[in-house]
Amino acid sequence: MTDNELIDGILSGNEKYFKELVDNYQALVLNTCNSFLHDKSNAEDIAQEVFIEVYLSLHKFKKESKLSTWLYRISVNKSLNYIRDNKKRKFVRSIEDLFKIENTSKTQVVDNINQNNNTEDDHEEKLQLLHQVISGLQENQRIAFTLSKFENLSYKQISEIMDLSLLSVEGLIHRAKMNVQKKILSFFKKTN
Amino acid sequence: MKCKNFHKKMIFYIDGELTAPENSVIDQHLKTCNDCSLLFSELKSCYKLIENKETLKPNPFLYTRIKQNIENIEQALSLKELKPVYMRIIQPVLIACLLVTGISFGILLGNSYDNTPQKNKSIASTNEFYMNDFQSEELEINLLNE
Repeated sequence: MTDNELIDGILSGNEKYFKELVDNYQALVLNTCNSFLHDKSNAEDIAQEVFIEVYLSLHKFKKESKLSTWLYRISVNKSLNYIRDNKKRKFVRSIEDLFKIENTSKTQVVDNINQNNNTEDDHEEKLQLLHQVISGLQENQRIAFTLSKFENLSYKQISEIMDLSLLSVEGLIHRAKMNVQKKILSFFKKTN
Repeated sequence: MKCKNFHKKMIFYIDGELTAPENSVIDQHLKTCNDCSLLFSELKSCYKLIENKETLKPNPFLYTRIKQNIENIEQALSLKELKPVYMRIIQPVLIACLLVTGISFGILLGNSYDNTPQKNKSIASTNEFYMNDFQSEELEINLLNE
């Protein structure tokens, strides 16, 4: 069944089509959310929100782009909103605690990398460092880099999702890589 | 190749985005510079973890949860639709009724108040009667005299 048939079916009020849409795209949505959130349970919650949004605003979808592009766009926006809200909540809770967390988490990662000889732990710490570095990127760089490296999307697909030109996407990913490299190297230089 | 130039290109070398001549210059530098070689292996070990990203399997109850949430939202929306009727029509009418009742009650109270001056004389005489009842009680006078 094509995407257009699915959309028309859902708009006519047939639940069967919505179930099929969820079945077809749940892996895409869930893994995109997880690429930004790096947490399975949060990614599941946001994936639910994405499909609810799809159901409630499907009548606004103009079929000019692919359904998958629209789903990627909603997933990215919902994930980033969640991250922003989470940051705000933390900020409201305590400004002092926030600074504490940032400082300790950075030094903790470096310390742990130094202390841990265990390969599995070392792998986990490096992954944590990588996520932290990507989270620290400017928002547009982060979206482009994550979609390119974690979701393996082409520059063309990313440009459609982000509604940017191919050149802009190339520039964003180039700058993102430079920043990732710079931040990872500065961590390792500190440890050596 | 200088170390500084090498550092700028490391990540693109890992991603295989450099030209063949650039790659060979970097290969050469890695063989000759121990510091850069060490730094490169650290960067590569961390950066390559992106490729090991775990693929999540969707929760089998995802659709049921979505449906439940949609039903809750639709219920909340239908309640919200009723709310404007209450807010725009029923609430102002109730407030107006209460105001009218209050004002009418006030007017009624005002009308029932008797404005004519009271007969202070009769009150005074009654008071006098009670105040001077000492004289009429002869028994008490007799007892006091005793």
